[in-house]
Amino acid sequence: MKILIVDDSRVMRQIVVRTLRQAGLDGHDIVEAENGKLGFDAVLAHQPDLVLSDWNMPEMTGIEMLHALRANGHQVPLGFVTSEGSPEMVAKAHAGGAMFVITKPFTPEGFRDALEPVLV
Amino acid sequence: MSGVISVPALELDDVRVVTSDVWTSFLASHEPLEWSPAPLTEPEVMRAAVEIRGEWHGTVTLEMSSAAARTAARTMLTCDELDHEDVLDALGELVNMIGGNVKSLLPSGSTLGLPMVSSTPVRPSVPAGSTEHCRLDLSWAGTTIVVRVWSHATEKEDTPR
Repeated sequence: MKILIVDDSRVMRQIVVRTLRQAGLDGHDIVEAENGKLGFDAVLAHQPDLVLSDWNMPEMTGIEMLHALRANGHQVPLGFVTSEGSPEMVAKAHAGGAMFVITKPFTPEGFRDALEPVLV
Repeated sequence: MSGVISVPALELDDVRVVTSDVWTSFLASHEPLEWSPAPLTEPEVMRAAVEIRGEWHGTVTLEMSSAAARTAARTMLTCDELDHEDVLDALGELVNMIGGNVKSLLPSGSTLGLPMVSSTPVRPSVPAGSTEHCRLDLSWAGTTIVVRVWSHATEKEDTPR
């Protein structure tokens, strides 16, 4: 499986990769992008099986990227990994077509619970 | 008339829990975070800030010595070779997580800005007239870590809640 990680923080992208490994969800091809606009382009270029995206990023936010993907007919499964886990944003994420929202800070167990249904 | 909108229902303990969660998840492998009243006296201090806009308007700031910031970045990246950008990135991500979780405790409709990080003497923007709503002095990696929530002055009258 190919997983696209979209986050403007290199440190956080690295932590997400490490957490996937700690959650026992390693062995996947990882592609990275630094914001929603580059993430959108990476979906077209790499055709990932799953997108893990930050919400708040420069150039294009995660929710804007999700809306753009769906508006262009791309149904790639997408989950948010964000520091902003308010009920309002979770509802907005689901309304936009996101599969799950993982709130930062997170644990390997939280990753496993959210991702296992998608990755198996 | 300008005034400062009070932070609705945000207590010092809320900020402590949020900060503790961030540290436990990403930095406790180096050393646990501990309560410490000691002032931040290191000569080289780095400050990260993230703004929250909404019914309440304010900033969350995170301050630590440059040495502690490098240790934080090394711990988060699990890597000894760092450049300055990595340290700025790590500090920004820490304040982003604390700010995002503080925002979640505020009334709906608030928005979180992008984190800004600077070194002494350049300060992140906490506008004139802002007031310190709460302050946590913590100890980690041998130095003090300071987390503060600032309320910005607004053009509205104070709104008692």
